[in-house]
Amino acid sequence: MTEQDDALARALAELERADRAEREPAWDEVVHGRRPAADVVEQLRAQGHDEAELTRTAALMTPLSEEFEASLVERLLEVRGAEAEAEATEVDPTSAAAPEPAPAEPEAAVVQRPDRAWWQRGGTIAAGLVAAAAVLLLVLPRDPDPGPPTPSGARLPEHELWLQPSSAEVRSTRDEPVVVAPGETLSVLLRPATRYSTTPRVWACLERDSARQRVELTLGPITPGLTIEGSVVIPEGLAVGDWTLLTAIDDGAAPLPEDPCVTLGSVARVQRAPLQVSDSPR
Amino acid sequence: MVEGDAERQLVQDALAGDRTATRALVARLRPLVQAEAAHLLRSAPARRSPHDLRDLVNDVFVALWSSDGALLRRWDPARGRSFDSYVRLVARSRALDILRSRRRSPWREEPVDPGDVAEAVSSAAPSADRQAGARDALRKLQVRLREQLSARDWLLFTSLFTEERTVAQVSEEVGMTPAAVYQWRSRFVRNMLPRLAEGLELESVACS
Repeated sequence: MTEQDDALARALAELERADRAEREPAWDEVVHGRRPAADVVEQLRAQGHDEAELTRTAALMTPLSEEFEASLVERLLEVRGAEAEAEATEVDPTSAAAPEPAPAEPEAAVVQRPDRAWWQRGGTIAAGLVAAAAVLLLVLPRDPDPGPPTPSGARLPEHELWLQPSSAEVRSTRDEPVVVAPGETLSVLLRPATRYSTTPRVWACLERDSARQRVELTLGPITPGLTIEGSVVIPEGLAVGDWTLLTAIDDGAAPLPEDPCVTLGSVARVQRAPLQVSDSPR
Repeated sequence: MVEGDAERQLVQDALAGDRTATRALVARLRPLVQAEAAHLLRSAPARRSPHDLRDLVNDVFVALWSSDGALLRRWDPARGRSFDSYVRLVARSRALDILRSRRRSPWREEPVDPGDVAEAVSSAAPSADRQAGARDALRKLQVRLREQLSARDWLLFTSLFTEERTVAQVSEEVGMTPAAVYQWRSRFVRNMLPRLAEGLELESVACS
């Protein structure tokens, strides 16, 4: 590590500390309900603070209502209740006596949140996802590998796969493949359709002309049921042209096959995204 | 009763589903979570309505309670951080994560014009900063950091650099081995930070 890089980290830390120090302590009194917002507004106005900013900050710092807290309490009790229920009803697939034929609804075994509205909060997320096509490539799991879902795969919901090259200037529309260069890092995001409580196992492969090769997927910390973040480095020397990135997710109950890219067909949750490997990303 | 025992008991009872304890813990934490959320929203001009605040506070609480409340259970007064300080730190890191995931893209709403970033940042920055090019670039980097670091990375950055805690303290707090924390620190400084800083004129900052 260079001194220059370290100096940058220290400078950033200093900036964060300065931001903390600049916080007006009087707002803490307000948010704790120990002082009316109007008092603080008046005090800071006298000190020449911007009026519009004061009004906005006062609105944010005014203690949230008792009704909000009461509703939050109910929500949190639901969260804990749903988790406890999920733990109690979770079935170990390896102990199932005689597996049934492929279930018609793969999500049947997925733990459903009692309040789906939270997960599907407003139309904003969906609308946002659609609009994000200008920057990211969203690939819905429209073409899972053939064959019935295995019990391990069927326990997890579908995931949406998002890709973003590290080059900020790269654009991709929904219909266009992401363009990357060998050696470039591709951020990978897998967003589950519903919450679940099993820690997933995830791996990635590159596919071209029906041949697949595994590619190292570096994952961030995983919280079961939440969005999975990771990154893939496009191997140096990868042939230029069209490729497909596949991610596969299972619950890790069964040992990973020796070549998990060859046996992808036995995994229910597979996501695909087209890639275009270029000498220089656009 | 040892200092911190009351909070730990309250956390345990609340996470066990006790309604009274949940109510008490929410009342205890709400000002801390709201304050962190509010400070973040103040510097995010497009998302600073009371509605955004309620959503963010709600989602931070859910993150704190999820996975058997692992984040809350991890607090240990023996590690030298008060309960309030710990909750603020975790709430801030989670709030950043949530704000980031709510964007139209998970990382960024639109391809951002550097000028827009500067404008957004400068509105929250002291006026003296606006005149300093290097400082401005540093602010831009700070925005990128907040936008792109995961909750865990943010927590590690804050603990190691901003708060200058020791690797031993941080490793206990986040449940990583000291070697993994050292590795993260090295990766952050050598890889993540330079990548985030690409295109910014930060030489004078780095050389200062």
